[in-house]
Amino acid sequence: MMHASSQPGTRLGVVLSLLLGTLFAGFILAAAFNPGLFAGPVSAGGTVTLWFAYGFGLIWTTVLVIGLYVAWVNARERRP
Amino acid sequence: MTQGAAPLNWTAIILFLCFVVVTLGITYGAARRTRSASDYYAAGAQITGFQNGVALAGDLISAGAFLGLSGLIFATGFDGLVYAVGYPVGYPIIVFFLADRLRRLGKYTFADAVTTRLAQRPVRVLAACSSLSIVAFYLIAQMVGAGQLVQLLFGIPYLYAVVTVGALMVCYVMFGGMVATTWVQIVKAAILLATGTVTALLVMASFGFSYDALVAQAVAAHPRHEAILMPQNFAKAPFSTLSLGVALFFGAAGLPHLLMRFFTVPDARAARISIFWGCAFVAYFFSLIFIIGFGGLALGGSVLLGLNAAVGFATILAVVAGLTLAGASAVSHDLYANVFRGGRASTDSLC
Repeated sequence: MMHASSQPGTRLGVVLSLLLGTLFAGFILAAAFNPGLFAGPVSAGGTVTLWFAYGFGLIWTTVLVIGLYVAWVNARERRP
Repeated sequence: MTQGAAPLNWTAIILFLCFVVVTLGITYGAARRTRSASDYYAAGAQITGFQNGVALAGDLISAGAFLGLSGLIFATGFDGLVYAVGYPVGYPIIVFFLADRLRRLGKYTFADAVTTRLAQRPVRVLAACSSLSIVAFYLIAQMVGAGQLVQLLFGIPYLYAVVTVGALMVCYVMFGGMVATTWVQIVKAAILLATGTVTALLVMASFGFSYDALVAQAVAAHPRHEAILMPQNFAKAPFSTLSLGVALFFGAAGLPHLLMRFFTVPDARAARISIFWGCAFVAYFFSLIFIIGFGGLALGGSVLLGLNAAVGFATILAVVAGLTLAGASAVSHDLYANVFRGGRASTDSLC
């Protein structure tokens, strides 16, 4: 079931999962236990809080991570 | 008409009927192409990575996302952000550990994949029952949303609304299988993304394309003011929040109607590409939702109510079709063919 070329992808997947999991855990833990942590504005005098920067940053980081992973693994599979 | 019902929204009704006609046409075309069990359950593995990615986005942007998330933002502001972050963050688990492996197995359902190395009968029963449980709970939410929308816009009683939508879904799945379900999802996702973009642009144009100005107006309009920019309900129940976080991070990997999608593409590379595009489109749509949700607060009233209501219908119909197919596959392929018939049923006869 485990294709040889997927094993480096698996190790990379574990690392990236831990990275994203840590970032998401930070978001959830702060929301649960310290809601004031990111309550400050993104820019001076602005309304949007750092929470939104963290949240949207995490969403698009996820997309970027998946894109890089797919590009890397697919490129390795193409090599003979 | 129900007592005290609002006038019929003909824009929404016409757009909804157009969508139904188009999707029934897709179903008819799909039925003509469906020749085998592989065609029915997995679209003959002929869907490209990009097409499957759009279909995945369609599966993921359900009524819970489109209506529920925007409503949650409208009601509580920040609390919607936890769900908006949690849904996409759960997709890497799928692409890192599941998508390509499932595709390489070349099966039809998740139970097929699990029983490759494990005992057939007990594991298949467990996997099928798990899929059916997930599908049932998921369907309840979607059908309630569909019933409420149809009742609101068409003025027919809730029970008739639910039965009508259910009958339509059975037609899609029974005659069109995975081919119809995939293309209905693609059409729906395209409409949803386009409508969301137009709505968000209109909202932003009202505030000089300043997100700060939009949020400031939303804060002023909401009874809780600045509190909507911070966690509220999640902070009141921290351990429930942690539980939600775990469910969001790992839960997407257990959704049967998503996992079935990876059997529809030609190879493992396409399976990975499809989850990338699915995640990208979902991330884009959730970004729009935070404009639309706050726009509802800031502007009040309704922006493109008819169009958005029709798109809401389309969303529900398409997701229900995907869920129904996943449930039907669990019953017919996993339980009937492989458990009750002991694998002796001809899978080609199940079409």
